[in-house]
Amino acid sequence: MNSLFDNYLNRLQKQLRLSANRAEAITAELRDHLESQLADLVDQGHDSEQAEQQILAELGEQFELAGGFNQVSSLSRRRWLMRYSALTMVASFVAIVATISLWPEKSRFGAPDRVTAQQAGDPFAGGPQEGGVPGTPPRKQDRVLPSERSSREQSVVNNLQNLVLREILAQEQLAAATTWQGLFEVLSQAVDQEFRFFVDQSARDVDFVLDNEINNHWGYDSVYEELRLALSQIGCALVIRGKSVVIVCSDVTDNPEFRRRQMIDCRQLLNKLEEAESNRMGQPISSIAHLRTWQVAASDSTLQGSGGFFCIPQQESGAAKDDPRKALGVAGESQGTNPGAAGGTTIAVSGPGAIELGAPSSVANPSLPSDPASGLQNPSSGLPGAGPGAAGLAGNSGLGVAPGGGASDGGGMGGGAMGMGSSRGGGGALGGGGGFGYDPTLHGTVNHGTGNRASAVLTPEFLLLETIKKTIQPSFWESSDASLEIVGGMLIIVAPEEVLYDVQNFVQDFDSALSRQ
Amino acid sequence: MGLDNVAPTFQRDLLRGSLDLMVLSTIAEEPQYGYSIQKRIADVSHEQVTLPAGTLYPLLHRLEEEKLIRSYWEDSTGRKRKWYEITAAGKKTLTARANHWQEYAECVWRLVGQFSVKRTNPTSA
Repeated sequence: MNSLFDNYLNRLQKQLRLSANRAEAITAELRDHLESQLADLVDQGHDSEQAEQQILAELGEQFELAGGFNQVSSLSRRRWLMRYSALTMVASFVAIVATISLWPEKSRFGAPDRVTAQQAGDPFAGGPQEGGVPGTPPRKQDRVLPSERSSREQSVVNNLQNLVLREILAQEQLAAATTWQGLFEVLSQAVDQEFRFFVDQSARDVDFVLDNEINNHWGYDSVYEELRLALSQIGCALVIRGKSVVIVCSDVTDNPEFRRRQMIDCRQLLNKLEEAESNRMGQPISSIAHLRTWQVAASDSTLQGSGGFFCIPQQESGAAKDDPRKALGVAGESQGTNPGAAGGTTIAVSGPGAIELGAPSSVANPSLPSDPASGLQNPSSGLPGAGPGAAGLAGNSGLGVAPGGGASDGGGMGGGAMGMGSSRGGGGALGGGGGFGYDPTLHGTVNHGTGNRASAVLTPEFLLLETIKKTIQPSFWESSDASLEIVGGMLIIVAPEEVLYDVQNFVQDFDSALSRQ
Repeated sequence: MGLDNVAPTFQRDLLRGSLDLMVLSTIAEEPQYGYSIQKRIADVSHEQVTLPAGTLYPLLHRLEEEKLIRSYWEDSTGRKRKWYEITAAGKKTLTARANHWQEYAECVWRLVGQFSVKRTNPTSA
């Protein structure tokens, strides 16, 4: 190879905004072109040196040529971005429809398997409800005297070292919003299950140019999907958030083989990442070196370090389904009871891990799914809920979006129907035969207006997220760098070290408070 | 870079949009590498279309991204060489675009043919 061509191609390679492998491939291809053309010209009797200069002159300036290749790459990325966005929307829609249609407690004409009754007022209070249907088995929380429960939870609050959290939880309105109860249940269970953190500090340094770049590229090579599936086999979740690839693993099964298998899979993971890198288009992944240093946090690293991401053991859906008390211990013995006999409650608990928060029980609810007058049983009726503020309801597997209702107590739901309130006060509820809805203003508006009864079911995950947001650096979570979500039943927090440190302290504090009570 | 460097025999406006077609048709016959594509187009067009490498290679890469062609490397000749071959999607596109191009050329010819000194419809040849 002559130096003229070498110089040209070296300069060209530097101007290519592509991965090293692609840039090398392009220069190799051009090298072949230059040498072939040179050989032809020499064969035709041209002077070699002049021929080289002529060829390079025809090729043009490097920046122009590089621009052509870069443009192709850019177009490709944009195309994948659009496809990815479209696919994401379609997948989300399909997931929603599938969730509705496959909801375990969904019953076409029946009512929810588990129904709770709400008592207005003290969200922690239990006890049999006046006017309740005789013979209905008392729920777990009904057997606990309100004073006992309050003192127990108050004891935990008093034991908290986090003054901010103590102050927040001491506020009556927050307690009324039942956030604390949800959090209490979540963390109590987590502690019971030997709550563990899995911390991988090195992942924090992984910094990609764009999330979309990874998504596009991995989508192109199916690497992301393969990786996600591989990780799901061993109970790990994979997400890309906050410019980081986050892999969360939870040894919920306490399987001694787990770690060994996990490490094996992580080697495969690194191979996949290398593969992704080698085929990547666009800006280099500058921190690919960090990926090589990834270590899956061993279970020994419980509560270790302050960076990385946190993991809460995933709820065991099967066990929780068998024993609803395990699903935060509130649905309890109400499982399997006839919802109609339960006193005309409105919204049923459904799904493991859901937490239910009170519902008035003494008055029959016209929007109860089992009430034929409501019309909600009819999967093809598509009629809206009978109660004021009720969400719009669709057919058996349809989707209705309520305009917000205006009253919080109209969360009407029917078999196989779904309604989504669009405002806090809206009567939106989600679910099939069972479902859930959230209305943070519930306790201020129960028994509102027509006497319809309302209830809300807050998932513990939601409550946990909300509480963390309210308690720990509230303004931070509004920034684009913050990521706080539940993925695969695991809590994933991507945040700067100081925030993670606060979260860690928060949970440790809670753990300590529980142990001291 | 781009059509500015194409031989001035044809105005670049005429070539715009037809380069893809020319490259696809060249590859459709048999697998080709970049330099051979360039030479073949020059030969077939009697040097009226000389596609500079700076235009040809980005174009090839774009067609590959669009899955109209695919590539593979081969070094049996002692030199690492990238070959291109047309895909099924590329063949479909080629047929469709060739038909479209012919219709367009005939349409243009009906309008402007009377002013041509050659007076022969090139698309009917």
